[in-house]
Amino acid sequence: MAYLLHQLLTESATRLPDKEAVRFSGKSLSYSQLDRVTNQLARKLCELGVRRGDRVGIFVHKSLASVVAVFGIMKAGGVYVPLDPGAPAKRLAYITRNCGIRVLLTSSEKLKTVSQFFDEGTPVEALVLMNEGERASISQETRATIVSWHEVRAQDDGPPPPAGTIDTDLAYILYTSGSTGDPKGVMISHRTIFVFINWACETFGLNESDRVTSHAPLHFDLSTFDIYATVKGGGTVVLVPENLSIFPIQLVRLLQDEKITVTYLVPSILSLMVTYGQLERHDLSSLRAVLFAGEVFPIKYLREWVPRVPQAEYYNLYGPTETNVCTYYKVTADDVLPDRTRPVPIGVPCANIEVFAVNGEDRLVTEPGEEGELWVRGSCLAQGYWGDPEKTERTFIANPFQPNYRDIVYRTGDIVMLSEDRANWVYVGRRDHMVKSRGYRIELGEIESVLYAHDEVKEAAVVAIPDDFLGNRIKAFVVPLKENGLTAKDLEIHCRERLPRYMIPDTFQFESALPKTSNGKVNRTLLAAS
Amino acid sequence: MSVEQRIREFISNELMFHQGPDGIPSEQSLITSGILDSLALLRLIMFLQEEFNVKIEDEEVVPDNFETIRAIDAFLAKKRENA
Repeated sequence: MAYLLHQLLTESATRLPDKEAVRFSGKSLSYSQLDRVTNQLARKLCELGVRRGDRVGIFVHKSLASVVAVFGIMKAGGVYVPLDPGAPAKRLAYITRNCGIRVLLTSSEKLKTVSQFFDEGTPVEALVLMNEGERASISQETRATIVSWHEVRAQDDGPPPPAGTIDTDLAYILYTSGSTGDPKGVMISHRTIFVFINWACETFGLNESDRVTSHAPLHFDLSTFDIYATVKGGGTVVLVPENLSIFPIQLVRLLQDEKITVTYLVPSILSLMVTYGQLERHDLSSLRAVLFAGEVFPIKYLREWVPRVPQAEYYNLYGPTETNVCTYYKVTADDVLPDRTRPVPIGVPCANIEVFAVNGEDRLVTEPGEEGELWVRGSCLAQGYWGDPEKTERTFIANPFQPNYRDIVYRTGDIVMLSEDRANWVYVGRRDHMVKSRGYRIELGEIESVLYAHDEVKEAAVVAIPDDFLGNRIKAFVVPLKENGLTAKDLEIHCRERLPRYMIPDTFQFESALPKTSNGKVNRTLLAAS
Repeated sequence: MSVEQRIREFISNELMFHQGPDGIPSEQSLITSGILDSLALLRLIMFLQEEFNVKIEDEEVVPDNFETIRAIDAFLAKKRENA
């Protein structure tokens, strides 16, 4: 009985040893090979002192190494923490300090950035280089021990000693934008992610004939479906190289050439593919399911997909990182009729999950059209935010509708309503300043905090401007301390040192003052409309 | 101003990407370094079409033509030669 993520790999390796498990740019690993190399990595991590519950960082570009890393770390009992390969060193160093990463899996091309972690301060003591051909040494720049891949491959490839992990132990931590200026680490246990993986594998009928793309990076929770649901089913994970991911026609070609059967993408990518990817000129007859999540999919692009790839089923999946996917909706022919303008609903709860909406008077929403905040309960909930019980208690709360025993519900912050036929939940908006852009969630407050940290900024406000392809574009309004000093270039460089790409404002606009509401707050509505 | 300089200036000023005093190295990957994302790529294509009076086809939007500033420069040179 598998109850830990890496047991899914071992089971598939026993059942289908020679089956291709993961592919990347023409290279691949069979289930047996993946199982054995991850045993070797786990043994090396144990030697380096990794024990059950220890956080181990992953800082590599998407490749076979990414998949090897996650399984190797969990087999050693560790908790994996993916670091965004495109994020600035300051932010990543903060993450290593925040959750205490002592061992980091990386590659030699990332060493320059890693050395900056040490300038910023980091508890990292050992670096495992996942590319071939590098020698073990002590790094001059970092004073950390460097372990070569050669040393990992010299380990015995049998199962590592049991780490004693149980399913309420953490599997991974994903850092996501925090409203107060620093990212927060969402803790996910094996049991938590199993609720999603079990449901996904059954609902989409994943099996060994499936070939599933992995487009989202590891630090984005869409990646858990791609890797774990596919491995559970015994299918093949086809990693999408990062340098293809923004070229619509290349992505469509990859779907065709790799005979992809299931793909899980953010709507902005699907919109680009249908607009610029020449779907009709490619053979996508293998594609049987198109799943999307992360943001609202504009109906006009979904409507263009359906007739071009008519045999595929389309599903809207919904859920913040804190719950994984908690509701889903299967798109029907009616949803994409020409006169439809509304996006598809977020649907109904996945198996073993309950969702409900609570209105402004703390009562359950029961009538169609009435709005409320979506609350989620079940084993699907994250364990909270690493090292931050206060923040955790603000959104993971005791269920007020269950006075008799301890039951935790998560307040999503998303406003929803019940559809006219009471069958589905419909997404309405946010109750705070979190927005989605390119599928990523962004706390506008975090960007504002970063702008305020600039010495020459007197006032700053950040607003989201709706955009068909991106979900939202980010626009910053800044009042400088002195006239004629500060430039957009200064601010952009300042932000780039502290924020990931998707959080850098797309435009900076200078103002002499920001409009205020009657109670003295910045009038964002007015700014967004300007 | 050379074509390469005009592309570099567009990326710096319009896509809001400045990197050090000398800007972006001609050979640096615009993709893995996070300069070009999907929106930036679309804006860059629109700029190239208007600025250099070329029509860029969907099938030309591939990494080979857009990976680096030098690649864009070479791609444009080829387009204008054939025009």
